[in-house]
Amino acid sequence: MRILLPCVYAFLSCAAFSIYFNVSPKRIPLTCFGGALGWLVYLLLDFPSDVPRYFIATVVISVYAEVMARICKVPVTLFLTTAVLPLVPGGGMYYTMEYCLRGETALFVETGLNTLALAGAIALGIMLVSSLVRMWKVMKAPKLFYKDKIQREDY
Amino acid sequence: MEQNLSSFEYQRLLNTAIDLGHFLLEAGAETYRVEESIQRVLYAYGIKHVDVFAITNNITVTITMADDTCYTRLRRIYSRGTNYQRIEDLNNLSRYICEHRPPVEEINRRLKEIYRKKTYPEWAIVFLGFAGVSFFFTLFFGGNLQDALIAFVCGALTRVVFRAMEYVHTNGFFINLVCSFLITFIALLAVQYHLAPHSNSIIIGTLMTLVPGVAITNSMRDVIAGDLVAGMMKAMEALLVALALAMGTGMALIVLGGI
Repeated sequence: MRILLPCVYAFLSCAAFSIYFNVSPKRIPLTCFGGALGWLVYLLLDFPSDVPRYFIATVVISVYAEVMARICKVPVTLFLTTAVLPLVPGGGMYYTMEYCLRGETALFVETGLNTLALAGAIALGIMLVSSLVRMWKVMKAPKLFYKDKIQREDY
Repeated sequence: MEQNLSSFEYQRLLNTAIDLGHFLLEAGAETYRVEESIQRVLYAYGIKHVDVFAITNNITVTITMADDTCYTRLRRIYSRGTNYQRIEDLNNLSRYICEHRPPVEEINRRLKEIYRKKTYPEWAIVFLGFAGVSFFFTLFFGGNLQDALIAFVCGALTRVVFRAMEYVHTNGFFINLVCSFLITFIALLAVQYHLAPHSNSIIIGTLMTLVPGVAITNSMRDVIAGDLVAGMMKAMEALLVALALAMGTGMALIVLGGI
């Protein structure tokens, strides 16, 4: 229960976000599954710090989003942005602000830096997978990337 | 078909292509997707050069023909939201255009169809979207059912206030500030009158509706693709929203929380 329940909540919050983002009904289950999967990975991993857990969870979500986007032939952002939302460190941001107002400088700096590190871990995870996929796409079909074509063929 | 379009028809095609990019950008697509879609569509019709520069609120396209005549169009974009259904449809349309090269009239007709396609009704966005997000994220962040119900009300109210302030063209910074102030205010009042035990869960859960998660993710993807200006603009936007949320919440905490 301790593991299952948060995943169900993550699934349902992603469903609510999908309605806000106007995702078509047939894609909603798949986007929500991404969110639940990310949180499941986070809960199952066991590291002393949260940063590697966030990083690995984001990598798993990104891979899931890339694979699903290929299968359904839709843009990757659809799956990626919605599934990453449960990982966004909203709690960290809130507590940082609260400590700042209370004047507890040590806790403020500690929580703030930790939140920043978590945000960095998410960004790095997305960046890693996106860059690898982009590399693979260019290797597979270089002629599709018109930005390069102009320079190569004309000069 | 490819080579014998008149210069007038090329200009119409340019117009249509920039419309496609405009709709994509408005629906919240990444900058590189906008640029690549415009380029692919125009190259499909046998234009010699296509130069596209897109950032978050502006698209510039110059096309050069085989006889070195050039046409340029600039489009300023004012509103921005997130509409994945539309991105999906436009993506399919640009794929269709590259394969079949339909006449310009047909593209215009299809663009209009996509633009007028129905979204979820407003009540669904208020009660399932915003209120649902607040409800489940409050449970997710360790609240109980009472907290979640208060968050449900806060979430629905957030959307109503958000729309009302958007309607009178208030800037985004102030909208987020007011909404987060309202959320914190209601949550703290509810805790003071013993309607719910955990104010923190309610506030964090409901603020998730306003947190700029999409802007951050998309700015990352823009930076990877090399669109540094667009990426930085989105990151800056996310930072401003986060600042507004912190300020609004902080003000309510000072007013009611006795800090």
